[in-house]
Amino acid sequence: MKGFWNTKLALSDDILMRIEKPERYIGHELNSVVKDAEKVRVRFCMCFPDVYEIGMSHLGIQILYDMFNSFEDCWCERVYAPWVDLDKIMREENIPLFALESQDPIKNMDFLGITIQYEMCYTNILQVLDLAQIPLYSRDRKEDCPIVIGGGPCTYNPEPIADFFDMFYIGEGETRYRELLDLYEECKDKGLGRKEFLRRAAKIPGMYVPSMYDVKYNEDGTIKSFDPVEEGIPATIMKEVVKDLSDTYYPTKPVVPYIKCTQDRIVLEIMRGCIRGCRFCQAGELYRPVRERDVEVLKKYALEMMKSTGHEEISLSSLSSSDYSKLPELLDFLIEECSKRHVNITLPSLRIDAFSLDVMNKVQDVKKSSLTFAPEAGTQRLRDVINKGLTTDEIINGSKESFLGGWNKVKLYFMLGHPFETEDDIRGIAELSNEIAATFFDTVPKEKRVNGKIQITVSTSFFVPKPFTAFQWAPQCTKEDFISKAYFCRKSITEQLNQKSIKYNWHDADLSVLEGVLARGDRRIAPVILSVYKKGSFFESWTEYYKHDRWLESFEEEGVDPDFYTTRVRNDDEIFPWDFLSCGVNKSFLLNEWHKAKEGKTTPNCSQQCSGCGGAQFGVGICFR
Amino acid sequence: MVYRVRFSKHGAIRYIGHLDVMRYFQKLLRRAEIDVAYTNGFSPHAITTFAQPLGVGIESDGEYMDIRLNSGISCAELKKKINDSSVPGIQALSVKRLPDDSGNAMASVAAAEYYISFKPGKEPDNFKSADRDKVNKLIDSFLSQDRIILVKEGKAGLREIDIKERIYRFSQDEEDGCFHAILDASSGYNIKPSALMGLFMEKIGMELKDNSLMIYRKDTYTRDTEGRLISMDDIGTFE
Repeated sequence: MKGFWNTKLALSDDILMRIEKPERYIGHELNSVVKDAEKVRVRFCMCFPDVYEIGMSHLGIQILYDMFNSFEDCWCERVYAPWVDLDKIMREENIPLFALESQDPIKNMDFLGITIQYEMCYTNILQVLDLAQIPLYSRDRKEDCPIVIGGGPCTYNPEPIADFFDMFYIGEGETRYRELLDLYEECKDKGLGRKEFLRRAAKIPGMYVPSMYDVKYNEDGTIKSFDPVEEGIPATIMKEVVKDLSDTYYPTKPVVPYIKCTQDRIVLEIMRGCIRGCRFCQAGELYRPVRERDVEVLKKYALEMMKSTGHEEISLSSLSSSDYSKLPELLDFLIEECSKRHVNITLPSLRIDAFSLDVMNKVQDVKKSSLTFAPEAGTQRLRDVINKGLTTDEIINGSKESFLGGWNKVKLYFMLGHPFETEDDIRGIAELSNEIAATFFDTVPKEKRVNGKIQITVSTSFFVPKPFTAFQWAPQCTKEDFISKAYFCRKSITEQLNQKSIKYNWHDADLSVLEGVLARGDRRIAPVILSVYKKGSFFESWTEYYKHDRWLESFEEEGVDPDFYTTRVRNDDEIFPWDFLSCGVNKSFLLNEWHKAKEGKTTPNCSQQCSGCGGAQFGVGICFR
Repeated sequence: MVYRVRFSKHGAIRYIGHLDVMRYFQKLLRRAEIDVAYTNGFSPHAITTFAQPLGVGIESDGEYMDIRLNSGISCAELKKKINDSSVPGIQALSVKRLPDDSGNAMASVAAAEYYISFKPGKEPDNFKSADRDKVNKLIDSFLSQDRIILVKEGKAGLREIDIKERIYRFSQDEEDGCFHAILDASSGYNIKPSALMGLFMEKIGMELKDNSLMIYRKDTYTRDTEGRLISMDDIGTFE
């Protein structure tokens, strides 16, 4: 046919024309890497188990994709979870899941790497394995199956999904993959087989091979012991940490998708870790110690990425950008360079103060944008319990400054169900919101009010205790508690003088309960996840595909009591399913934080004073500033 | 200064929808560091105008985009800059500088030229053996009807238009047996090649099944001052 190219695609034209957004499955994006399959020794497929637009927005995969492809002997490709329309067709027509770049089946590759960012993607992991025609349980995989390796924040408690993975990489991916690939090639050359490779891999720092560990339970269901099954396998696995963030891999030519993705912009990761030890926050502990990227390196990356992507927007990424020491210098540079190139700057959540308001004024349309505060709790007492270093004065003063600067939209984020929360604390959410509204009316004279009003949006989510936090001992609220707290919060808001200026949203309680089970679950949860998947559930982070009843049924069928994992009171000396891992922060430090929380005592942040959490053992970052 | 870029869409890129092609060029123009005029405000975007959108699944060598530059650049250099920053499936085929009074790419579209064939395995049975003369006779009888009514779905609902005078060419004149058509592509009267094939098949008592065609747009046309169809690429100068 005249003018038609022959292009290798795993899906036929018939299928591509029948599904939503065929662009998700055709590869060929700018900066995607195509190598000669004959000339590489390792084929690695990197997976984000959610739809393309979500997965493509993830920086971590882009970093690892860039790193793997910088290795001459390795070709790293990408795959995302096929959307429900294609999923159905692939099952009907028995089409094996394929990698985007080569369009080759994943089942023929050496590794399938899966990044696990949130609990609600667990059934999508099974979907991906199933479509790839790889046995779901690690123990059922044969010699010709890829090694299935997991990474990402959820691997800090990998136990609920441990049986589905051959191994996990604990910590930051930049450090040990070269070593792992070398070992793989050596084992392949010597014909040592899958089991021997995994045995040897388990001795590389940061690697967790679930089949090399045996777990025993007490009669009450808690863990009695968790031990390696043979000599030479480490009893504790320490996370991997990049020592020098300015001298490591960074994707200066990230893949640019055709369809609009969630993160349709350049992402500049300015630092890792967070100085603020909020007691509910898992990320704040997992990524310690705080390490900054050199500002000159960041400037260079920014320019290179503007040139290599053409994105119309750039954003900074970190857990708390206001704490980056060279932030003013970096922003001045970006404002100048971006305006030359007609590139927009979007600011991440900055602490609201004179500096950030000034910057926001320069880069954003004040009329359209809203300010965000995350007090997380309504009273100073509860903010001390959760160690959120933000005072009512700071919130009110920040609001006042922003109202003077022309903003009239405020978003407030809170959590309901913190440990030791009382009705007063919930009422505090309403009162604080009311006070912010009152501040607006006191600060801005009538003639200067745009539309005459202030819009305050209050959102509450339900607190889910996470591993490696001070609150890992905390009992989670029941669904009924959550809902009555949300009703009480709503009622309190309607009692406020300025209630007409306040809009209230709250999150789904079912999902929070389930997240709680998966977050602090153990190996006995795996059959439940499998059972829910077999009932047809995946894409559960999409509310339209989340079916809570299926989970309740599967808990029942598998004889698992969800309350054991959520609402149960845990003793100080309980062995947790994730205790064999270490993120560097000592359990004794966390326990002390848990006790301090009960007393409402705060702990200073890392820039004020070292509290000896254990993060200093990595020998880098803020611990040595 | 306004430039007209003729570009291609080939291979896997045929599945990229029109809006995403427009987004693609926004990013490309930044990568190529072309001194294009931007809109003002907090989210500036390059001022571009595209000719008739191409349907998903169709390949083309006749796509057009007009861009306004702040400073002059040779057409050859602009073409090179674009291609150096683009993927193989989208390439600038030609760049012309437009005279100040020419209409924009969208408004001046008059027609488009297509090659159409059945996908392998999707040819209607009695077409497989039919020789070209026989097929062309069928086409002639189709074209010699008094009226050829196409039902178009628009914003205001369904409307019927007679496309008899808007089919500028329809024949099977190629060695490989593909159909060749030049059809009205002007705003409001755009005739999709699949719609033409549907009407043709219906006339000869057959049914056109979904997704059974391979379509290639060879070029897009405008009219010269005397009303003749000329390639959109024939406007302007290569300088």
